[in-house]
Amino acid sequence: MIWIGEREITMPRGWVVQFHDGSTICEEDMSWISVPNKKQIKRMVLKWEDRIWSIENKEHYIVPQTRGFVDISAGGVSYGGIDSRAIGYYDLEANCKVLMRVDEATGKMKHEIQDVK
Amino acid sequence: MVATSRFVEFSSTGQTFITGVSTESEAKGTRGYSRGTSLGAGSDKFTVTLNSNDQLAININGTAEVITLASGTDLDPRFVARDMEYKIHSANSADGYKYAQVDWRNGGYAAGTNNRNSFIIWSGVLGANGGTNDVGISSPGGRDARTTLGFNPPTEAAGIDFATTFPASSYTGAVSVSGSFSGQFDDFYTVMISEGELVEDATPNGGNTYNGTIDTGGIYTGAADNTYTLTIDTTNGSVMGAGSQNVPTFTVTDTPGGDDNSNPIELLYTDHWYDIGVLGTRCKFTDAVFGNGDTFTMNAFTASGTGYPKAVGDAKYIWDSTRGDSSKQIQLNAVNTDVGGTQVGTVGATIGFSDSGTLGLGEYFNLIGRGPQPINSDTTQLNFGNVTVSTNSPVKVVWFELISGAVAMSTVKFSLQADGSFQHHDQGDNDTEFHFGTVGAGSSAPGAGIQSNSQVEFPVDGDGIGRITATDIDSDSSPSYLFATKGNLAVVNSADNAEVLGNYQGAVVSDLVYLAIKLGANETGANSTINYRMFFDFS
Repeated sequence: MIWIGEREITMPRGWVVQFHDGSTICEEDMSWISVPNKKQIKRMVLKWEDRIWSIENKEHYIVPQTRGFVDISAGGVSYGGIDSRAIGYYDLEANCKVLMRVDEATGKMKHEIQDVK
Repeated sequence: MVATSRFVEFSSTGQTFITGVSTESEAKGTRGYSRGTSLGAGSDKFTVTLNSNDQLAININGTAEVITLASGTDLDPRFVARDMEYKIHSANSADGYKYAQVDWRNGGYAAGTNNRNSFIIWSGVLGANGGTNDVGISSPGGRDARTTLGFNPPTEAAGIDFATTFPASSYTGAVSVSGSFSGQFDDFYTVMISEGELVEDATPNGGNTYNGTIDTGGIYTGAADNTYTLTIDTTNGSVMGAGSQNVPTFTVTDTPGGDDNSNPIELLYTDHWYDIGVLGTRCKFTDAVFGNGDTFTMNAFTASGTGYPKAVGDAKYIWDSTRGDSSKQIQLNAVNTDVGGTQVGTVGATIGFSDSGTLGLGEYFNLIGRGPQPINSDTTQLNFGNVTVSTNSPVKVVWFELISGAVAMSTVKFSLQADGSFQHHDQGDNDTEFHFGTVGAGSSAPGAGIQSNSQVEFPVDGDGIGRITATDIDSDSSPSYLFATKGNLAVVNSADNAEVLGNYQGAVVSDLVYLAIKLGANETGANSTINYRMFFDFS
């Protein structure tokens, strides 16, 4: 069981945000642009089954990223899926985005740096 | 929540248009419009429900129609605008519909001129037509989408004649618009008589937190030079893409004045054009953190040149478009007017001026470009039909787009994920081949170079008819009018080995993908199911 603040996160995979008042919103609740009061986010968490990766007390979190795929076939139907998910923050001193990306199939995490252009 | 996406299918022989159709005289006058200025705070996603709130009754330049919108939850406004545009095109063959355009314009959520996030529906015709070239929005009955989309009530205005805007103009000649438009999307060009650009690059304050890139553009129509200062407020948020009421905003002051805006404009999206005032200047920002109180200063100038008014051939012009296809962007010096027609934009449009009268500084003309129209807006399968061995199938054309749940797309790739029951793919025996090609607004074919008018986003012939056939994409050496081709896609299982696609970020749409199959000589059987896979990052 994974608990973030006072909420048990039953969603198997995805991002979770915890606000300064202790409340939480997770990916299955709503899309990112619908999350209110983002300036009050204290902690950002990426959950994969029973593992979590957490970023805390950053001033500028990135919009969570997802790497996905969609199929289109000749004679069949479309199907979509997710390859990986990432959370992160802007590092103003280094002028970059620092990401933690978790592979959807294996649950392995790797750090990524994306330059700000 | 996962983003919602779809494939959209086009005809390989789809048609494009470039026109200056006007109720006054070609390329003269402005368009009428209806702007949905009734949206409230937080209106950057739209839920349209089938048979409930999915229709608008529209009257353009005196012709009435009802359009039915694509339904969905929390739809991206850029998608909704594109959907409305295509539906309006299909609703009626009159020019007001055929060349109509719909924009999503970021504003804020305070009342006042240019201060609302809003959809704008533009008439497809230039000119006033006695005040009737406008766009009226009314109730369609029980499936009314007006309130959902901010048109209850809208702000509306008719087009304005060139002769009204420039009553002292000495140009008595006719303008002609021609060329083969090879844009992926609809666009609107304004051509202004001037020998210098009008909008300077913005200068960031030395103490700014923002370390990304700001671009400026537009056609400034003010009566005097003006200096704008944009001031950022991060009370609601410091980065774009976080949704309405959670993003940075900017206000505008100016000197000597007349085009300021004290109401905040929300910076909802990266790489998206924002109106600065109401006199034509615009800006866009790349993804980076803003600091509260960051400022950017930018000069806008009136049209410049000596000895005006000048005759056709001596007078020069600059241009800019809604999508940012501008003479400033490609750093092209002003272009000489010409009777035979000269470059407007980089994707094939030209403008000619008959040799009658003289052209004055600041006089401007407008062109409307229309890209290809979808033939199937929610494609779940591609049926290549009956294909004979050793011959090519018809070419299928699709793009991929996000319609909700995400505000940006990047790193788009395309692959053959499975070759089905075909037995002679990569077997070295007169193989079955899976042809692939791509081009679009994200990665256009370069033509004769960055300043040329021969760049291609949707390849067309001299009549604006799509021109791609299977033999254009049957080798790894792409023709000049495609960005890349692959004669035979291999089956791959990861994005690392897939083909790279361009992506036009302002619209969250991929470049066009062209596909065809050539069955090997020894292929037998029928109805093989192959599978293509699109990889993409979204946020």
